[in-house]
Amino acid sequence: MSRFWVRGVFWRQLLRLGVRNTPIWLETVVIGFWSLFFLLWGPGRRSIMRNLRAIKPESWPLTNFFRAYRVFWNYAWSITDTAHFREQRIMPDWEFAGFENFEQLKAREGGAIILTAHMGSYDLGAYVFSETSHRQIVMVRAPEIDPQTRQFEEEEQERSRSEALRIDFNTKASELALELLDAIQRGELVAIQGDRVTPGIASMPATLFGRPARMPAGPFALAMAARVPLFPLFIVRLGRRRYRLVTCEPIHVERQSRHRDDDLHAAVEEWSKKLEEVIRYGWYQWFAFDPHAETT
Amino acid sequence: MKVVRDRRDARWLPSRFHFALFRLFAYLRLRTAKPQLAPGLVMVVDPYQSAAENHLVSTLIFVVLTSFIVTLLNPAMSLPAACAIALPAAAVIIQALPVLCGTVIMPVVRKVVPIEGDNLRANSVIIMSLAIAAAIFTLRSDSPARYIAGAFLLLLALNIIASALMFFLRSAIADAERKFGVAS
Repeated sequence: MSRFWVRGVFWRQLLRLGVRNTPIWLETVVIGFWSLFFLLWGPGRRSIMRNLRAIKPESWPLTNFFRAYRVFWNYAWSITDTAHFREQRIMPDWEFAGFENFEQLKAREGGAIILTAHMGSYDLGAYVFSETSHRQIVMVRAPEIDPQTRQFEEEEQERSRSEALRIDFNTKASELALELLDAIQRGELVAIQGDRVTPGIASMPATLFGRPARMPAGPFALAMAARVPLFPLFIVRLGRRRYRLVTCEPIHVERQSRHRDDDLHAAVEEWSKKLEEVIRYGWYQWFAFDPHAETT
Repeated sequence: MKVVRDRRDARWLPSRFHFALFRLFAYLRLRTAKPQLAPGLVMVVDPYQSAAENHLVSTLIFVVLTSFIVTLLNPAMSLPAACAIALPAAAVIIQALPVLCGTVIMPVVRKVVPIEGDNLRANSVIIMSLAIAAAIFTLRSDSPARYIAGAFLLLLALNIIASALMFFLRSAIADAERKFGVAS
């Protein structure tokens, strides 16, 4: 029965079946219906509403309920766009904000870290980047909780694998850290999601929307060890098949004081500010279905 | 995959639209559009890129199907009750149709006709045919929903006329698109 749970493999298979069979001009109604259906998923909906309470403290619970629908609606479109890309190689339209930072990232000699968030279609963003640049990119993802879903996702990744993009699942943090360090030293770009702390991952305190929160420490420690900058990069969905790639100015993590944690903390705070700025604007596509640490 | 870079006015390329009526409208807009430079912008040339077109057609199919169900139910119950049942029923039927086509009808069709790739084109033909049949049925009834069906069929007729016009305009359209580096 676990295949039918919300994180079960059934829904991934159904999405693939839908993308292969639903006429594209019928998708609006189909997605509208499924967004409504997933609004019944209590824990996910409540997490979104809790996050919204932190982002928009003045708003009413009923308003946040409708906003939660908008988050599910955007999520459904984002995963559909990703599935279309995997199945039919159809890409959405793209535009850039902070184009000069993006060009700087592309032109940079040597490796760098791309720090991103669970927004828009982060999978698709990585593919777009790898297809528009000659740079090798390694994307780090949290593994799926459900074993069947994990296997399905790994098979999907294998099927749509490209020379320019490699996806690693952070199952063993210590081994992965060494692999990533090696990749950066080879001049590759490493993309990491920096807005969620999963169990077993080292974290650092930060402030998000005026409340204490925790951010993953790994990307910052990696940047310090490899002596490379972190480029905050966000994939923002603007509308049907339209995305914006927002690249911010790089964050430099350098050892300046005796206390390593103080140097890391300054970078974490800088990241939190940028993350907050983007989420405040694009709250309707922050796909944090688990309550964000301490924003409750 | 064809893309146009750095040009915002490329959104009016007829090849980015699917239905002839929308393609014709896009061509007319393209003729009057001024070049708009947008550094870094990447516009994909795919017939399903237009949000307005796809949202509109999707909503139209949903409304036609709802009208059809209202027509079926109306003799047995009041109009508001028929609408209350028809709305969710139409939504469920729209979810089920592609899955049914893909898992039941198309495997049988594929045994007779060799079709490569996914079922999108075949399912589109089947579902649009069913929508047209539902609209004709509704139009022939005396239900108030017949006006909606009539409007849908009128749009369909206009689309056929537009496709004839598009046929005659094909070389002019190809020339206009070539200016964006898109070969039709």
